[in-house]
Amino acid sequence: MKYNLLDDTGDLGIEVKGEDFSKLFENLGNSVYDIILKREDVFISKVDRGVLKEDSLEDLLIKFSNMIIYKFECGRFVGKMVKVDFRRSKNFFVVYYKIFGERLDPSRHFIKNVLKAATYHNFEMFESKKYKKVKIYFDL
Amino acid sequence: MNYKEFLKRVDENRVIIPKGSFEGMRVDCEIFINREVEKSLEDDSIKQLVNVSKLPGIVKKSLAMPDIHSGYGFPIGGVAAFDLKNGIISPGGVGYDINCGVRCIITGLKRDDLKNCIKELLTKIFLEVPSGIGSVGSVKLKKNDLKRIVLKGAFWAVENGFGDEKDLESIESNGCLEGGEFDCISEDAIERGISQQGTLGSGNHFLEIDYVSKIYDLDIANKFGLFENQIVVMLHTGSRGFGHQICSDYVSSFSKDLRKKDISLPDKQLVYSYFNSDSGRSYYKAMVGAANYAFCNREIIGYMIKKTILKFFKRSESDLKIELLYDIAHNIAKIEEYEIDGVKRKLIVHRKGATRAFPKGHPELKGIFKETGQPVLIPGDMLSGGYILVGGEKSVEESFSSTCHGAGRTLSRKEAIRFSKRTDVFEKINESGVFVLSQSNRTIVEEIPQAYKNVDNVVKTVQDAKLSFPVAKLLPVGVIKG
Repeated sequence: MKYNLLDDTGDLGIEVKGEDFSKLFENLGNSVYDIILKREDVFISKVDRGVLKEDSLEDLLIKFSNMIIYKFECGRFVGKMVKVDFRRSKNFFVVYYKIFGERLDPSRHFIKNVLKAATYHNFEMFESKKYKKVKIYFDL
Repeated sequence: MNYKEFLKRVDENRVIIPKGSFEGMRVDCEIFINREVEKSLEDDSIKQLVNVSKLPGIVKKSLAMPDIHSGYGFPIGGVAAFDLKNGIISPGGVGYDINCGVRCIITGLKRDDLKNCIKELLTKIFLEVPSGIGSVGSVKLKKNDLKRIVLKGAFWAVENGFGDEKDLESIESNGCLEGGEFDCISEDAIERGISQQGTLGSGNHFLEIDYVSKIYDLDIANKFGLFENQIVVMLHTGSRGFGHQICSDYVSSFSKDLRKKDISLPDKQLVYSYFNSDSGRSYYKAMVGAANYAFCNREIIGYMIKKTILKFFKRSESDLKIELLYDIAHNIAKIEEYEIDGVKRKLIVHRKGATRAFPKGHPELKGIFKETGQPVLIPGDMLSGGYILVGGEKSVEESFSSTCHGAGRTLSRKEAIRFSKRTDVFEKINESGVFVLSQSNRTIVEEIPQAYKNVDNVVKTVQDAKLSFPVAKLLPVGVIKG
């Protein structure tokens, strides 16, 4: 899984790639967890499943990132691995996600950054036959 | 495109970009900035200021303070006022941390009183005030409490024994904006807000023990209760995850609305709704709720600090004279009245990283502040300290009663980390004699003094432009970084 950290005066961004949209969402989810904490410290004792739906891909990518932030802040849930099934319908883009992880344990989990929100600031998405790419900036 | 090339200096403290320089500009852009601070002005932030000048219903000018730097949609340091009937309201003009602000608590303690105990005192406060990543408050709220906080702000803290009634007069808008509505706030925001009341948070939020190193205006300093070598506490925090979620929710819904209307924006974070629309009013009511949450948060933390200091010194409240000087918001949108071309108009003034600076005699000010003008609290970086200013006579007509809010970043967090690898940051902090505590060393590295502009130059600009005037300079002795 590859991602690049992007510079921003106040906060930070990431650039993530995937060979298709399911992989792009998976890599985005894993990258967000990578920024938040050391994923190698996370055990898998729980699987969190859900569905997100939006009428634009851009909104869905932001919503997906914010969902991870919300689960971390409110549910104290941290992920080791994210799996995503991406589908398009006539009017919507949908992701079925599974996050494998556990409840935050401050004695074992080293938190690197707290992301407060995924933003539309300098948002970019690129799509080709070979790969899909997205740039998202986060408010810290 | 190089936006800097379009700047025209009109005097020693101001540059403008005249209306017409870029397509769609409805008003001039104006930045209060002297030649020294202009050297660190980023092109991106000027572009953002130009974008703001294109928004519907903007009145007079798209303004920025000398601590301007690139933000989300609006630049940080930006001030823009919109007509209530025909203008817009934008979450990007308020920021994610709604009513992020600063509180200054004054004490009867002198610098020497802390000479041998600053580490112990700061550690006690550090243990008492929840800070850092994912911090959870010691104040346990039920949904009905949160509902009342949305309506009552800092008054909730007072009625529940977490604050003093006399504090309310020393808080901007008495610690409560009218019009907060719980029904306009999502369940996700409620979930995030319910556990974080009374917490400092992380990132650039801090709690600082300072001493007054210099008095500039003895008369006003006396009226504020300030004296040289006095110990004061500065607190910087906001509405935590509650405000962030409200901002995220409305950015997303406004974005969808604009897409449906086929309105494209130069920057997606500039999304807006007309103030006089259902969605605009709904955001305003939710934003007011978050602003009230933040006023309450700072009142509760202020109470914890006071309690801890009293316990630490085992002295009475009247003996230690711990009092709130003032509490200000620097990320907010407020309805205020201004005379525009001889006509009084109600405007929605967005201050995004800018501080209200009412001068003496302003009808909204009460008590001693009516005689002096409103205190303005300006933090600097963790080693060079900040300022207490007072609202200046030109602020109303020149800047919709606004002034700067801090030093303003010059290095990104990543650059700050890179810089820190080349120098021994912790050795420099130790040499300075300032005791710094944080849940994470990374926060300290990201917030190094070199990441910020020189606050003295920023303050000099607003002073020379008569937007606000220095009353006292503060230097830190101990800092808790969130």
